Amino acid sequence: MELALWEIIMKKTTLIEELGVADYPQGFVTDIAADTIPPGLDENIIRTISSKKNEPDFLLSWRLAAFRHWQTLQEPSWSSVRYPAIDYQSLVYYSAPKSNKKGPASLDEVDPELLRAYEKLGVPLEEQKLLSGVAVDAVFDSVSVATTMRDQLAQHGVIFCPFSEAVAKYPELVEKYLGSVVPYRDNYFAALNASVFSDGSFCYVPKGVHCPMELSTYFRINAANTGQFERTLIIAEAGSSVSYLEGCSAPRRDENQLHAAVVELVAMEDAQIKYSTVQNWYPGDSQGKGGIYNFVTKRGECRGARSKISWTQVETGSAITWKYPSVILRGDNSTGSFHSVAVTRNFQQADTGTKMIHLGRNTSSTILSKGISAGHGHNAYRGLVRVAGKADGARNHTQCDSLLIGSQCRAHTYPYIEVKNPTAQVEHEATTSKISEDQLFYCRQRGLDPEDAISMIVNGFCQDVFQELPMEFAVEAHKLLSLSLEGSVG
Amino acid sequence: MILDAKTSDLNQIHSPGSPIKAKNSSVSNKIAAPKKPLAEKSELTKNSINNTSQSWFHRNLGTKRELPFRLPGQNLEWLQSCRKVAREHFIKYGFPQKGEESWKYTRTNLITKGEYSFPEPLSIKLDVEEIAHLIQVDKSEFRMVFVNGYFTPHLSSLMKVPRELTIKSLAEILDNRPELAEPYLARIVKTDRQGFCAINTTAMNDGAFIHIPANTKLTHPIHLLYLNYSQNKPIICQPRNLFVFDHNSEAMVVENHVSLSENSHFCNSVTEIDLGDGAKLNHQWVQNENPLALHISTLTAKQGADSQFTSNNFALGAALCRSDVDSKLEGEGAKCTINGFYLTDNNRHMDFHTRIDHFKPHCRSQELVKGILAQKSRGVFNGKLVVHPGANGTDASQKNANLLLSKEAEADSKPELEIFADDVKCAHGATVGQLDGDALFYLTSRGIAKKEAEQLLTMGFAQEVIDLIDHQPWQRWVRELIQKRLTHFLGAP
Amino acid sequence: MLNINNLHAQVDDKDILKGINLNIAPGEVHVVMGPNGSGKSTLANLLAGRDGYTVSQGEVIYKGKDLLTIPTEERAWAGIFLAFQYPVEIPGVSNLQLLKAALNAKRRNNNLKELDAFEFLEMVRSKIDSVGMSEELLQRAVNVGFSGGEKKRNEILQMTILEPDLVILDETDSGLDIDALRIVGRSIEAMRDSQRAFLIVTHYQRMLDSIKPDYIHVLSDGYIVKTGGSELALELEERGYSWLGKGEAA
Repeated sequence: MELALWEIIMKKTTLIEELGVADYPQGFVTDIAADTIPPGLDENIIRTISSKKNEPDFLLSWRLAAFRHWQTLQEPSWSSVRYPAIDYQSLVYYSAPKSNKKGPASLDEVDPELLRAYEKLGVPLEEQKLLSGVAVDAVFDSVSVATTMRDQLAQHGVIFCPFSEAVAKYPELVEKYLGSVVPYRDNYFAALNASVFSDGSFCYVPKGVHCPMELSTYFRINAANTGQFERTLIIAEAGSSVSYLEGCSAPRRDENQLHAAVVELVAMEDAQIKYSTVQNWYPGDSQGKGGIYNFVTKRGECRGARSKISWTQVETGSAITWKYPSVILRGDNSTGSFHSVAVTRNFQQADTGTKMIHLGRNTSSTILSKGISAGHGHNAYRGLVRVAGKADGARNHTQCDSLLIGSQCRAHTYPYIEVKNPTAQVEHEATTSKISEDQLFYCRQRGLDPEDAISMIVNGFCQDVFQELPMEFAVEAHKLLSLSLEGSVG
Repeated sequence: MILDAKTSDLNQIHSPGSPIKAKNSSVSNKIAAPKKPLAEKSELTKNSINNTSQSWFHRNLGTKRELPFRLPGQNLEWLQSCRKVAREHFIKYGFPQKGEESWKYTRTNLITKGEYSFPEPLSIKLDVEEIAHLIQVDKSEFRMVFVNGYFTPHLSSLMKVPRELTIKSLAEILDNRPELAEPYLARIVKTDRQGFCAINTTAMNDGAFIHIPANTKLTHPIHLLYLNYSQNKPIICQPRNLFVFDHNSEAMVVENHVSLSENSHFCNSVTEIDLGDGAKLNHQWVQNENPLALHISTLTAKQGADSQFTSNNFALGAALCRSDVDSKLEGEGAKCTINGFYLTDNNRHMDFHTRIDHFKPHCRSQELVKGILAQKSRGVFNGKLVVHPGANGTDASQKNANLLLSKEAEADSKPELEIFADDVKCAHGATVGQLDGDALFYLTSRGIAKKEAEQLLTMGFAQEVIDLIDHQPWQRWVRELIQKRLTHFLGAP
Repeated sequence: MLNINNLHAQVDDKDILKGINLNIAPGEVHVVMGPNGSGKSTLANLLAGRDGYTVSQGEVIYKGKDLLTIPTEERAWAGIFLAFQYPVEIPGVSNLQLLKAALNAKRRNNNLKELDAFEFLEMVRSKIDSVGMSEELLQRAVNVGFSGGEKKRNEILQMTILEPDLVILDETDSGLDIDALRIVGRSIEAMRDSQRAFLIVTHYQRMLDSIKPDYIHVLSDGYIVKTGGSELALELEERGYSWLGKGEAA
């Protein structure tokens, strides 16, 4: 297995070299007619978004409540990232490809231009080209444009559809779970998302069902000056399991664009959710111009006993990343894990980590974070491990390593450990260092040029996280990492 | 003495109401409180220094307030200006707010809501016999005793101080030889947004001044004994110390804080240390005050090239104890070792903060901090390690371990790394847990009663830090203190 | 193949090599012996291109080119291989991954076709038995969790796969048990041919039980104080190094 994997990696890497792809090959713009509302944010805009989607009353009132709450909040300033103030009135909160007005009934109706865009991104949507064993929901700006493999999934009772479709077809499920893990009061960006979210993916795995294939959503920001506010909700009923992948990219633009998503996961008794992200939003150019502000709230709740939620993320994109995929371990014997690779280079900033909230008995969590900082990159790990008074037998192990490449970069580590139960065992370890001269000399003595040597050593540094990813994504991650490091030497 | 804080200043800081805050969900994304100083946030928060700080200032240091002591060095312009700046800082920022990141876990309201008065010089005279048990560790020590913050010569022992050294009361230095203190005093610590340090600086009157000249090595420790004697009303003492070590000098200093009465008192001490190139300071700090005492301690060292600063801190008493030990490594090859130990029971709260700034290349720093938390107590460790641009070749490690002995105790740990250079080797670790079940079983299987086994293992946990005291008699003394406290709350075996 | 002329080198301003002269022709096996701190490892590392050495005088000519100006990896492409005294651990990078990248880098730069995964695996499998390594070690991260002996054998495996022209072995014999030593000796003997040269740096004579060198040089305090044939080893074994004295005598 491992052998096969690295063979693929080697092949893919060679392929990239042959094609001579630039450092951000996803930076193209798709020229497509769009239905875009005017910029600005007020209750009317929210009503407009809601009416475009024919939403039920409960959702509109929820959005409005969120918006009213948001207006009372101040943008958070506690993290280590710095950026100029965002003018929320200048953003566009809804933009959808015109052809998609009613949502595609089948792939034949999807604008070929969109299909081409996704194919260019390596995510073919036509049935005959589909990656076997992966169902894809393709989200383009504010809306989902296509979801594949739905029939096969339906046979198993698994619902996988655009969020707006779920609102129409399964309002009772949406009403029951929406905001139950990330309430709109949670934080500034969660409140903003709740007010204006336009689409996203919805997944429901019924009791006892092991989802027969990987589910995946590919998010694409295309329109200029537009924020993307998607919302993902995954519910795994008792005894079920699902693995979900998420990828994303955006065109190269000089302006910063805001992406404020919310992801909620609910795992009932004995259920398992594996959530993987390869985040490759446009990171801005080498001077720090442009790029996505990726301000995301992701949280899962292990509601039932023995449930499991794992987050795996590879963060190479975005000008600024601000996210803490977290797990609330409510069910007894539930398990949470967080595996992360975050790369910052040029002028990228990342403040990312996780929260493991131990509430139930014998809950356990694992955190493995690998931060790589190159150029003027700024990389901070921020994590909270909290053990509540009743969480007897809670266990946590955290390992947090930072790698420094170049004298201008920064790497910060801010772990918070709060323990109120004497039977808990919490261990945190962190290291920060540059690539060892010995390793570099060893590789070079064997004939690797410095860039390849660094790429290989760094990929090795991240290996423990990559191996948590589904195979196709692991390949993608290796590739991305190598691309990200190009030009970092010296 | 009258402190002339202008009434207009006080009006200016009147709070228009607290800022609107999001409801704090226990799992909200706010895993950190605002990191930026409040004052920079917005106009709304800028003026929101709470009423507590204002009224505290007003009550204790404010307009027309008589202090029971004389502020030394009144004709010194530089000193007046230090006090003025500190006062302005306090008026502007007040006590640390709960929302401030580095005060997130500290319950300062115990202090800020309390009524404390500056004590009169003690009318009764203490005999050396009454403190005999506190001064028997090293008979040849150089000793300065402070009672309620006042230097008390008849309990002190400075006869044998070699002539080239200066070990004197700060008040005396400020009155007679201020030039010795001027380059350092209030220049090493910050008063900006450091409320406690600001009020100490505003009204500092006495403490220890130590100057060790170049190439001088002191063989016996300097013992600074702070006795708090609160007769009826709770008092506030603000020792202010300044240690100046010229290049290649070497000495050991023990700071020892003790209560002589059962009443509450508040000690707000500030210590500034300047270590010249190649200087070595072996510093011990022991706080063993009564269960009602409140203690805030700020210690900041500035280290020259190849200097060595070792600070072992033991917080054993008081209801609330917050201790900040900071070091700035400003010369190449400097080495800093900060160790800490806290032992708490009842409702006590111990807060140990360190900050080490690596400014120059090839410096090393090392920290080991351990806490034992029993009953409903809470222990907090916050260690911050900053490697500044250009500080290549930094080698730093930080370790925090906590032992929770009860279901109601809480341990919070926040070891932070902030790194702005690439050629560094930094590591930290933190653990929270209970006594090792296997070890307990092993001991009991060898016939040792469970209680005794627990005692042994708990003491064993503490031992690692105690062993770091590089002075046998003091090491023994601290071990006995800890053993006694442990027996007290674990019960005799 | 290799000509070292009056080589002087310093580490942190300290003189380590004080005028080394050494000529190695294709097909020859040279052994450099000497007490600890005599400069043996410095010589080996300097030839392979490790940073941290200052050459103040002298030159090193390899295959007609000034070796000291060539970057480390290009020396490797040109056929120089250093078996490390302390092989480095690289977590997360499998042995195979490193080997394939190294071999293909060399082939690419010598205008040879790169091997694909299958050709490469076949080649590795054909060689792995000779060094007594299990295939399982190939999948593991480079040297991570290897025993001392496994690390050294891994160096030898890399040597057999990369097929260098000039092999520098830096104390490869230290920390090896008798069996491992025999395997290493055998692998080196098997690699010996008229085109390939060896520079074996060692502290002990025992490596020479299985390898017959053409020349033995004794390095002491930065100088080569004696040169002889393989019989010199036995003499050193008996009498130690002290009788040779130090200094510029040689």
